[in-house]
Amino acid sequence: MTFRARALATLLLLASLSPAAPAATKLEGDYQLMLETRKWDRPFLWDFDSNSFDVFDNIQFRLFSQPAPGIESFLKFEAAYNPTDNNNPAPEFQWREGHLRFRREFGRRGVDAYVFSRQDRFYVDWHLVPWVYGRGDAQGVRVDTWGWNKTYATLIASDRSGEFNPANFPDVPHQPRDSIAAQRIRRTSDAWVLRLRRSFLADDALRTGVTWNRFEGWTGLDSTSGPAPWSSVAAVDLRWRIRGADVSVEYGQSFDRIPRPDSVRAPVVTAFKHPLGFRLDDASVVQAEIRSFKLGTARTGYVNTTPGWWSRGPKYNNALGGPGSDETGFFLNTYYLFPERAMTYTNNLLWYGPRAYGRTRTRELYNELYIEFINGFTGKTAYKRRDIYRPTARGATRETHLDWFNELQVESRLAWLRVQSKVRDIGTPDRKELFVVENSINLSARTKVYNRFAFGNDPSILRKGIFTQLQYRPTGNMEMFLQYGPDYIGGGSMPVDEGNLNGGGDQRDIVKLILKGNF
Amino acid sequence: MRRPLPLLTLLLALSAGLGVPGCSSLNFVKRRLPPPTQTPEGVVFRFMAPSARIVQLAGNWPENDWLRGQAQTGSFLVGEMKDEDGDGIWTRTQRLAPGRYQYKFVIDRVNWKEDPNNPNRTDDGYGGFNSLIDVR
Repeated sequence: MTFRARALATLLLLASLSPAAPAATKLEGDYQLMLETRKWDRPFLWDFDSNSFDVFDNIQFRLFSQPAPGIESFLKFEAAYNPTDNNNPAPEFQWREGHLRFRREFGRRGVDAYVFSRQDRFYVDWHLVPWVYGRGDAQGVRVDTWGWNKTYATLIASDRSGEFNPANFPDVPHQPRDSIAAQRIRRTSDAWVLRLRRSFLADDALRTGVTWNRFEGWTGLDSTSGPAPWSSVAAVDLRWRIRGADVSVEYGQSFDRIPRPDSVRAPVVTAFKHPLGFRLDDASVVQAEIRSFKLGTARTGYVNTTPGWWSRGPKYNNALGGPGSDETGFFLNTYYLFPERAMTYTNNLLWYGPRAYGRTRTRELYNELYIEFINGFTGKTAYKRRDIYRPTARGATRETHLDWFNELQVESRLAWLRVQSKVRDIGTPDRKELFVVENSINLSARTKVYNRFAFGNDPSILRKGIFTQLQYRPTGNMEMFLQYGPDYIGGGSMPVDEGNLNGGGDQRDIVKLILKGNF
Repeated sequence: MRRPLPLLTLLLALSAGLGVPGCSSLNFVKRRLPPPTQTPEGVVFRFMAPSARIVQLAGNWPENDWLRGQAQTGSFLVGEMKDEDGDGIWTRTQRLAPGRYQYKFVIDRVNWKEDPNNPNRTDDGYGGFNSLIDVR
């Protein structure tokens, strides 16, 4: 029995031991059916039974139980049917995720512990630098405590057993020298995280934190792989609230044994191109921010300014989070709130670039004016200038990109309309004009139609994406979508910046039916 | 750096000539909804969407995880907001531990939008912004 199977069996056993209290146990789930056919990109026109991931249906069950206060079990399992997938089994029944939770509170103190399987429980609070962020499914233990000596603590120990797939190691002719059973245990990565946070002074004006993580990959643990990669990060963060502004400073350093050329060194720290005479560690990251300086009154409106600066060494390496290495930069974000009225002016200045592996510097200047008019109208206009300075033998060349963005939106109880336009690379041969018109109309309390017309005017071709969707919600727990066109062109929160529209995406005849329900 | 000057001049003229006192000349501009506010019950989020049928609050705190956090709540509609009085302003009071969070509003499970009433924001990596809130 593998470790993963044992963990699953243990979770199921413990969950089944929970005394079933009707008021505290619920079985829920959701169902989704998606049928898609498209005219092109298939062996023949309107081929319905092709190898795609767009025809499937699945049903998920969620068993949630709280047999006693502070004790909780959660199981999710799934049945899926992928009739057109040549690479995976058509019918699949799989264990999705689960956890056991124990929570106790003692007044203002408490403990919250999880034993989890196939869940992403790597969230730890962060402000400026993501020392740890979501790493996908894993199994392990997480313990959070709070209140003791005003300290919050988080400890995570996990193993990513899902990384190993025995199907990747056929018996013949390429069987590794180690047994597959041994690799199943060894060829997975482990992650540990420790986070401590504490407040000081009145009103928690001073907040400090320490984060430590360690990642161990699977290579080096069997006879067929290379040297073991491991990396670790230790970081400290500090926030001090002074007269309504948060002054934040965070510093972290990474440790590993990855060989790098000795010639790569972190440069001398500079302030506005003036060298300060010292270097940071090659494997360190430091970032600072003041959020924010506030000037003005209710009568005149408020100007808020947030300056920030960061420096990342060329040898910094964080396998469980971010950010990237070898970059120095600063930003100055300013916004002005007009008095009483919904008008906001935003100005963002950003300057960044590598210092060790390259010398390219980028400067961005972004201006935006946003206004909400009466009767449901809103408008936004934004202008962005991006200069890239590339070093040459005789100095540097400057490459300029100018973008102008406009948005007009109107909404009532009946309908919503949004028009977005963007002109990219103004004044260059690569100039591109992008337009997206979206609208939705409430045909009835249950039926809605949504349309999106996207146009990309390249120097050589006019591309389009015409998408229409009928949304039908007969009950509060059921939805049906019948749609035509490519839903990916011009999608997302900023349609004119969507990658397919900015790239080479063009109209496709696609018809899709999606049925979703939950119980 | 020369290009924003005309825009800055226009803004200064607007605020100086029209903006004070009381913006009586700007009656065609709506009054601002408050940004997320901290209360003893949690952080109150508000979003104006009169034509929406469903509005959800999506964020990076673990119970939500950008609407993927069903393990904590068991709910199909994670982060569901309410508009009980039918005025088009959707609200949700969310308990949040101290920290910095990113969030967006999701309209009819299709359109993702930043909070227009909260100018604190950060790049979302897709050309737009995520709204930012620091919970103390």
